[in-house]
Amino acid sequence: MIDSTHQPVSRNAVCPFCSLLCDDLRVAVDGQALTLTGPSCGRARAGFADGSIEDVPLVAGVQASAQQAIERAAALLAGSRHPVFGGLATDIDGMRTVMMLADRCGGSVDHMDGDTLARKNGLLATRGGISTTLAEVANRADLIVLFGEDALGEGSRFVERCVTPGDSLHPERLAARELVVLAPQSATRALKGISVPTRHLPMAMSGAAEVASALRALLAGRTLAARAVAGIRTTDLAEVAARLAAARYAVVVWGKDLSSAPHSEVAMELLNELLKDLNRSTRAAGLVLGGGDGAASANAVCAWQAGYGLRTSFASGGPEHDPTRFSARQLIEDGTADLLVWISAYATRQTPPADLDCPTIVLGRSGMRFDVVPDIYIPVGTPGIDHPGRLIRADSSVSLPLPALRESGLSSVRQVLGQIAALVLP
Amino acid sequence: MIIKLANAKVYDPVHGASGDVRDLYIRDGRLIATPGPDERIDTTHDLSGCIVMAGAIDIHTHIGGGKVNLGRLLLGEDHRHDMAARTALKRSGGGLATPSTFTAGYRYAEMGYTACFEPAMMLANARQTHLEMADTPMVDKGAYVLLGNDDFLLQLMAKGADPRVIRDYVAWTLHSAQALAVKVVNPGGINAFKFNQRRLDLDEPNAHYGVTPRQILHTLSRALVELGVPHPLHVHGCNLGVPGNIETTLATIAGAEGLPMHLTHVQFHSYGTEGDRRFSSGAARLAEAVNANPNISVDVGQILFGQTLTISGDTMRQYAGCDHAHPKKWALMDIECDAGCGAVPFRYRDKSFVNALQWAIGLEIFLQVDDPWRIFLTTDHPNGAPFTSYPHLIRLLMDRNYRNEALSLINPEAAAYSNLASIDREYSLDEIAIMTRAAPARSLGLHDRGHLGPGAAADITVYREQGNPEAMFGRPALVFKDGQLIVRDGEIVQVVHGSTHVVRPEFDPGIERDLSDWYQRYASYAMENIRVTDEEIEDEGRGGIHVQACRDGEAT
Repeated sequence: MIDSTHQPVSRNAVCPFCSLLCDDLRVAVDGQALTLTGPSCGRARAGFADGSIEDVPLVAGVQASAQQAIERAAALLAGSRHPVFGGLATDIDGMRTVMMLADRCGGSVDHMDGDTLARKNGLLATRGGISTTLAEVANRADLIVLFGEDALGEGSRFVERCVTPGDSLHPERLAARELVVLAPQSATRALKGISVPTRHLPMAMSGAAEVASALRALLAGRTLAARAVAGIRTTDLAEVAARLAAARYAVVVWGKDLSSAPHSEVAMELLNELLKDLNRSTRAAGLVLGGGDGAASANAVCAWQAGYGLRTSFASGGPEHDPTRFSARQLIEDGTADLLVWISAYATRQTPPADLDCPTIVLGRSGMRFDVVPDIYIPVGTPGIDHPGRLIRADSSVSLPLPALRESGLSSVRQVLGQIAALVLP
Repeated sequence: MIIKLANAKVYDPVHGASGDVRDLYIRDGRLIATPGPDERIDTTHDLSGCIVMAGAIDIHTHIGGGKVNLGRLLLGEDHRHDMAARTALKRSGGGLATPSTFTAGYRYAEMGYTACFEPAMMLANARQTHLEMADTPMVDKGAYVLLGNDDFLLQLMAKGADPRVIRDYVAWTLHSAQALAVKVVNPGGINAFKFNQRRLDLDEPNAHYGVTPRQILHTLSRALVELGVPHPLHVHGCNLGVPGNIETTLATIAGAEGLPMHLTHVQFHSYGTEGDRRFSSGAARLAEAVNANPNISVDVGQILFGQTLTISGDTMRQYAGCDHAHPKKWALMDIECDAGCGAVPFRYRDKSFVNALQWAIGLEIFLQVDDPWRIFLTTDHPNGAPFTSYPHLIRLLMDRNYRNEALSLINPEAAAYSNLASIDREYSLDEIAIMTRAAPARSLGLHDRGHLGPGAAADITVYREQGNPEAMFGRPALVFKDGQLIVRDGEIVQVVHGSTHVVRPEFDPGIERDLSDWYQRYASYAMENIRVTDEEIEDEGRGGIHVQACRDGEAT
């Protein structure tokens, strides 16, 4: 039925644009136009404003019918010795279909943020760890220590939701809550107006490992000879260590600006061990943010279907995992992979890396523009906007359903890959 | 279309069949008494020399959900050493302790299992648990939702809430999580660990809420009885793995005060403190209590030697065990004011006194509990051992000589502390059929499973009769799922998806007003969004839902 009045409709939305999955968004839907009307952040606003509803595929840069594009993609896939499924910015159901194709075709899977994921997976696989989730932080933490500024500022609602929630199951914890921020000077502006006592110790991200190491030593009762560590006075660090030891439930949070910094494996492992040390006497846990662009979902689906996290290859007939050798870039550059299937349903700017020389099929958010024209581009919708979807949150415990907001006619990754699979697989 | 299974030696304890040779008929996925005079038999399988049972049912196996996936990421070694290649029919995968979902489904079916129940689903993680179960083909599945460590319930109890409110909350949780039953893990202990309590005995109060495990057990048991949920409260008790915990377990049984209760992986809860090592078997006392209390059922959680991964919601006890991790790594999570989970790799060694005695204690429990209707065969997969060891475990129960040979190989001191050698009992095929089929189906309220009467779902396993039960149970000749032939000679011949079993007791939806407010104030998502919908499980025809009937509750 056509709505002749053209009144915008207000709908509940779940934000797919980062892994916090805020589900309190309100969106005014006017035909295909979306306007956020309630709580939001800069990243959400940009994400909802991005893209188009143009659904015409391009084959070698020329407009083609959906059928032509699907058939051409199927032919490329059928002729491929080793297709690598990269990008993987999709939802759970898109990823399930990716896994089916990768397994059946003897390909491999890697996410656009695969380097960060590989470090996170690597730490879990070698050391384990002790972690917590958003509601535990919001309700239980009396001390929150941020390493890095990923969780701060316009692009994230972490502080609003977890550091300064309006209410808490344990009001005494919220009342006592302190925030310690170990992050570059640039974080200062984002800290203004935070309503819990906040201490910012300026730290370059490259100093995180040193600082974590010093904190661990101080917690173990050692005395440091140095007067400063990575530019932070040792006395200040000793005070942070004392607060960690005294906290009833301390949470150490870090995001991509730590996990992508130099020597980040060392820093993350030291924080991990520091948290284990603290739990000998009190309670403390880590929370690793990141996992956006569908990374948390892609990694989880890969783990339950293949037994490993991402950077898994099915070339030998079954899953094998190698966080270095099976990166999409490595597989393409060393000639192992001969086809890139790039999945990117969230941001039109997330096109395949321009320097990868490889035949490429792109399933990308409608409205993508390319510096290097891929062999095939099939526009797809965004989960939670153009079609319903399900995503796993940063803390990897909670998954939420994302309702569709409009009828754009754009297909999902699951649908497009399903059509390709129907032509490729016996 | 009618399939005839001719000359089958039928073991169907529900209908008193104990090796009786007869013909079975399947029509449209169900067993029928006999075909009508005009009906044509389409396929006949001559089953001379074969044993027929209903498809086996695993009442407690950790096959899906966040904690299992955490385990997969933690222990990649488990997958590197056991890769399962894809075939024309099967997806690839692998892993013994935390197999990939497809591999778990295939291997269960290849052992003659047609239903598996995940015992530890958090509401906060229910969607992912159902997704993983949906990717577990071949078998029916279902899950028990965790309650008893969630701040909402403990807050209600601390406030002395009306039992009717608690009952509504329990029912709402069953609906929202799409669960078949309720499990409590270390009642209140996971929550207490978040407040840094490191132990919690049956009558010890939670430091914050002042509520004791005994009160939680009683409250939840009573709610389930009143709601008419078929499966009793599924209890992972206090003090798992602690020497001397047999006292807690016996007190838990006494504390049930006649209310139905299922005590899970009781092997881990049946330890005494006698002897030089202050570690001894409590199996005889446990068995005596189970035998004397018909309201109690148990599953064993047998350990078998080798590498595995322990995964549990019991963060308090998993943390206590993390120094024993092998290899040396472990992962722990506090989760969403709901519960938690911990994954600790472990290698059970037959030369270790403690591990060897654990092995013996499990078998002593199996052999000293008299009523096979109230004891179920489990290894608490993967906590005691991977589920693929079931055929070996069945042989240990059915073959006394084999068992005694195995006993002679374990740590001799442990063997000397066990009365296993003096137990002559050998399980019969009737008893195996009860404990792996009929009894779990009855306990879970699956009226059309676990038996071979007319109207039952045609989940059927056919074994070639032979002297070695391990070989027999490890490789069925045929397996039918809802009438479809899915396994021949231990190999998958057709892939099916299976359905999900749930219960939906009646409740007053007014509870949602309180819950909605609570979610708005404290949760990290809206109440509506944590519910798992039917459409998600049905997934465009891939999955189905079976709603199992509740008894007329004893509501007041």
